[in-house]
Amino acid sequence: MLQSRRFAVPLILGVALTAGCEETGKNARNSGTCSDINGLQTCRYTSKTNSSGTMAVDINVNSSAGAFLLSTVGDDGTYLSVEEVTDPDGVTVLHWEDWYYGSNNLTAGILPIFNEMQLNWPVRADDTQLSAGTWSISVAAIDRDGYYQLNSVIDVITQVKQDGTFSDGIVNARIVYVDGLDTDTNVTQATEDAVEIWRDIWAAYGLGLSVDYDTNIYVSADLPAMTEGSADIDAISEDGTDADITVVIGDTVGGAANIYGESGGIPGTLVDGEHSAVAISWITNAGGDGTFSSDDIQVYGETLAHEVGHYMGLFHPVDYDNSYDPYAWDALNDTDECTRQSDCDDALGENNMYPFPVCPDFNSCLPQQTLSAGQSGVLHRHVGAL
Amino acid sequence: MVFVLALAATTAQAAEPSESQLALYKVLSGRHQEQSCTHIVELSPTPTTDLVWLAENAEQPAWVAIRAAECVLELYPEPAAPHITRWMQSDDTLGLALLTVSRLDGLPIAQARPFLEAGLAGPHADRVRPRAEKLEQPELRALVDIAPRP
Repeated sequence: MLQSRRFAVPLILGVALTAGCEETGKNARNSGTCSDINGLQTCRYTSKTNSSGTMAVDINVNSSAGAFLLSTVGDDGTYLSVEEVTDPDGVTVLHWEDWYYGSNNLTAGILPIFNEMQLNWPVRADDTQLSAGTWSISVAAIDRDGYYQLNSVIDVITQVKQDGTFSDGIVNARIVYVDGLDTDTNVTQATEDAVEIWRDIWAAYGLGLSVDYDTNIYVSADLPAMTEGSADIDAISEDGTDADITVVIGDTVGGAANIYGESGGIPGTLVDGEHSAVAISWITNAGGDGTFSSDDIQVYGETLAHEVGHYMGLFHPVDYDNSYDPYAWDALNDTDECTRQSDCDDALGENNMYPFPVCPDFNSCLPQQTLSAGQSGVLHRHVGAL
Repeated sequence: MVFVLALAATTAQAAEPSESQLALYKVLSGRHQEQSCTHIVELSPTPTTDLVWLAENAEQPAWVAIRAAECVLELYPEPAAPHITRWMQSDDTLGLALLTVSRLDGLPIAQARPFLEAGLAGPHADRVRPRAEKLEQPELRALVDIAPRP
C-alpha cells in the first residue's frame, strides 16, 4: 500500500481504541491505566496508527471537566501532530490546516516537530469549551518527508482536570538543581527570590504557584536543548508527579550560552518524557559577573514566568524574522497585531510573553510583568492549573 | 575635587556604548536569540572590540554579556585572548569565566590551555575545577590534576 503524504490527502479518521477503561475520582471513565491527583485524571495506554497513518484518541469528559491534555510519544524518527479535534456532537473544533498555513499560532500540537506531541484543549476562551461526552483527537504519525506512517506505535497519555473555573488555580512547579548546583547558594538564593517575582506576576491573574525544590546530582549541568530532549530530562521528570511542571536549573542549555532558558513544548506535558521540562541556564541569567543583582533577579523571575508560560501554551504575542519585521502573532485577539517593531515595543513591551525586553536606556529595561486577559485564560485552561 | 569630577566623567563616558555597540546590544537583548554570531557581527565594523565591551559592560538584560562573550569565544578567541584571560582571573567576571570553561573543548588546545590555567589559579577556581574535570580534551583535564588546590 502506498503511503499518503500529509499535505496532499484529506483526513481519514483512524480506528477506535480498544484498551480497557477506568474511572477515577469525579472523572469519567477513560482508556488505559489511570490515576488521580487532585482531580487530575491521568490515563496511559499504547496504540497504533491505522492504515491511513492516523490514530483516534477518544477522551471522555463529564460536565464538570475543564480541560484535557493529550500527550503522545512515538518512535524515534516519527513526527506526531494533531489532525483534528471533534467535540461530542462530531463537530470539528480544530483542524490542522486552519492553523498550519496561517500567521497566527494556536498550539504547537499541529506542528510535526519531533516524536512527542501535546495538545491542551481548550486553548483559549474563544475555543469550543468542554462539554460532557466523548471528544476525539485524530493524531497523525508522519516521517520527515511528510508521509504518513502506518501501524506506528504511539504511547498515549490523556489527562483531564475537573476544575472548570478559569479565574483561579494553582500550578505545581518542581525546580530541580542538577550536578551539585543545590549547594551553590548564589544560584539557589537567586532562584528562590526569582520564584517570588514569578509568583507575584501570576498572582495578579489569579494563578497561584506551589513550588517544590529537588536535586539530581547525576545529570550534567550542561542541559540539552529542549527541542532535542534527552534521557536525562526523562529521568528528572519521572521523579516528579503527573501534576507538576519540571523546571531544571543548569549551567547552560543546548550547549550554547545564548539560550537563557527553553520550554519543552507549547504546551508541554505534565508526565515524564524526554522533553518534559523547562530548562534554565543560571549563568546566562546571572550575566557576566556571575552574581545576581536585584535587577537580574527581577528579570530571572520574569524569565521563569515567560518560559513556563510557553510550557502552559502561550506563544509570543509577536515574533520577528531576521530583519526584525513581525511575521507571526499569537491566536489571541487582545494582544496587539502590530506590524512594526516600534509599535510592538509600545503596545507589548511590558507584556511577559513579549520576546524582546524594551530597554529605553542602555542597561535599563522595562519590567515585563503583564498578561492580557486572553493570555491569562490560556494559562488557566492548561491542565497544570489546578 | 576637579580630579574626582574628571574621573567620574571619564568612568561615565566609558560605560556609554557606541552606535555599533548599541546595535549589537539590541540584537543580543532578545529573549530568544535567533541569529548566529557570524550574522550578528555584520552589524559592527569593529566586532571584537564591541563584543568584548558588551561582555564587560552590559548588565541588563543579563544574557547580553554572556551572549557577547560567547560570540567572542566562537569567532575571536585569539585577538581577544588578553580579555578572556582577564575574565578567568577577575573577581567580578565569574559568569564569563564559567562560560569560557564550557567552551574550551571547542578551542585548539594551544588556545584553551592558558585560559584554563588562568582559571584554575584564579578567584573562581573552586567553580572552574569541577567543570574542567568534565571537559572532553584529556590534555585539559590533566591540567586540573596538576593545578594546586586552594
